[in-house]
Amino acid sequence: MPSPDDLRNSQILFKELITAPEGVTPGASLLCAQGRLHTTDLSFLVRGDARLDAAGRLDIYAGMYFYRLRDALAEDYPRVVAVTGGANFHNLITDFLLVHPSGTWSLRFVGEPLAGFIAMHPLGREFPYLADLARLEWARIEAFDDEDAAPIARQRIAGLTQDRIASLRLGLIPACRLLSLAHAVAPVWLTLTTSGEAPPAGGHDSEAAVGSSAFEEIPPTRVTPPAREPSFIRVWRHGFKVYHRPVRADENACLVLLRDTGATLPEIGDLLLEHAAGEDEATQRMAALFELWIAEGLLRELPEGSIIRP
Amino acid sequence: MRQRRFLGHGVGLRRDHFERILSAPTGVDWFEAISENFMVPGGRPLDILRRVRRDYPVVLHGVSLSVGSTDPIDEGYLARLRELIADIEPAWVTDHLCWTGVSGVNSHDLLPMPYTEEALDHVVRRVTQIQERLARRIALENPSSYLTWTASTISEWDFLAAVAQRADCGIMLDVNNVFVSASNHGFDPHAYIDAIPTDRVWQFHLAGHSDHGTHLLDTHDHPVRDEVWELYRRAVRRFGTIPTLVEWDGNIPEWDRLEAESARAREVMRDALAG
Repeated sequence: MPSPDDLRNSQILFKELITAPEGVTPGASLLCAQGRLHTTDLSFLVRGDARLDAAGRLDIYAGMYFYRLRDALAEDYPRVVAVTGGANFHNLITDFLLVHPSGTWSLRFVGEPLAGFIAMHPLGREFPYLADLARLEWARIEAFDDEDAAPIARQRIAGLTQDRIASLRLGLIPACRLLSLAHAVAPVWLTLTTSGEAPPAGGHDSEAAVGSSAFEEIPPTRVTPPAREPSFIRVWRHGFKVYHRPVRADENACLVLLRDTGATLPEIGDLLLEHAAGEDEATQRMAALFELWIAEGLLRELPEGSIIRP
Repeated sequence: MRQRRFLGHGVGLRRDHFERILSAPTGVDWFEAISENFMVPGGRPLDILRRVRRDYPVVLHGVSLSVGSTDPIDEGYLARLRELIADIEPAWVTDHLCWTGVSGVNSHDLLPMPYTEEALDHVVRRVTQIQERLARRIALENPSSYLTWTASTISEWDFLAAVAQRADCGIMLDVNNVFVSASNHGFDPHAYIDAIPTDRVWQFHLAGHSDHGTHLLDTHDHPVRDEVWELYRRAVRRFGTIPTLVEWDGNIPEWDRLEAESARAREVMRDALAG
């Protein structure tokens, strides 16, 4: 049973009370029912006064705990908020934090498991594409502050012989994410233009207290549900701007190869041949994709013989 | 312990002002960056911070060091912080006299310590270890608080002073937090200021707060209140020319308004020292 007799037990009890989903007093009752607390009178832990009793004092921290996390996640997932509306998102995050309390030192990382959680949540059944939309929003956040790397420049390619170009070992820049989704959510993302669409440049963390209730009044946005069909999207950062683009299966296969092991252009050509009607089509496709990847800053040159992340 | 060099009057580095800060000279002397917001592999925020650092001194101010937690020190966090320190070369590094989580759960809030002998020993031990890992001294800020632990037997100011003396760290004295906590707990803010050792204070914070009827909340979303300016005058008279930073994190104003708030701090300091 937690007791206030030592620092660790005190902190554990404090944490349990301020993270209780229904609030401090119901949380204390639950701990009592579980035999983990001997009284719901919390004055043994925290001093009350004429303005607020002990539970009221703890409720200030309980409110800040939840609202800070909810608001940070709403900033990360503005289009999920737009689809669900504020009240549904509020309840989603209440459920989410019970399963995935933050174990990370920055609010930047708290939302990572949310897409997977949505897939298992009743809201994920109501909006079958919602988890995929969340995956897209999270991939954009990851690309936003992923490792910097100079993409291979057109001028570098222009100065090489054809043989040298063919022997170049190429990989993807780190700030590139490849998504394999069950719904074509890119049009939904475009439709849902919200004021919060910018990634959290500069971050969420601050020491200020928070608390707001107007959020729950955000109405759901009516969206034409996207088709359920396999969909590939690449998300990348060029300079400091994050982009995404739906891609066909053959391009996705090439990008996966480039990401996982790196590849030469002939190796890319072999892969495209598996997806094409013939050699000419594969050659034309490779030329078009190579041009696009260079223009969009996706490729980096790998040192010869290098092995990149598995 | 000698006080740190006088950086002048600064403001918090917030994304709303990135473009303005980089586009032309400003009227502020230095910036404070929330460490965690820049402990990322790359991208625009880190680039902005590096560019700001070329022109201004920067202080790194953390919110997740959790010096009071009874969980093990997060070595991964310290490693990332060390990388950022090596990258930015800040004037100094600060965090809070608080705990942020336990049992592996982070509240992302600055939770108050019970002010007991046991907690004092614990915090002193942790701060000493952290300073060894970072190979530098840090300064700890007094957070605003909204409750008092029943177990507390020491005043907050005596606790803070004892931590600073015993762990040989600095104090980042948040004048607004002194005012907010004094109001919430019914103590005399002047007594707090007067009890802090003069040779330990590296930096002041100023900020606005909100009145929620039953308590004041440290929201950083208003101008500095008159009562806090008054307390700042007293602090300046006691501690002298201490680098001062205005925090404004919510309802963030246009740059000129923020700059004017920093300029006011400069004037108040000058008047307090002259008077």
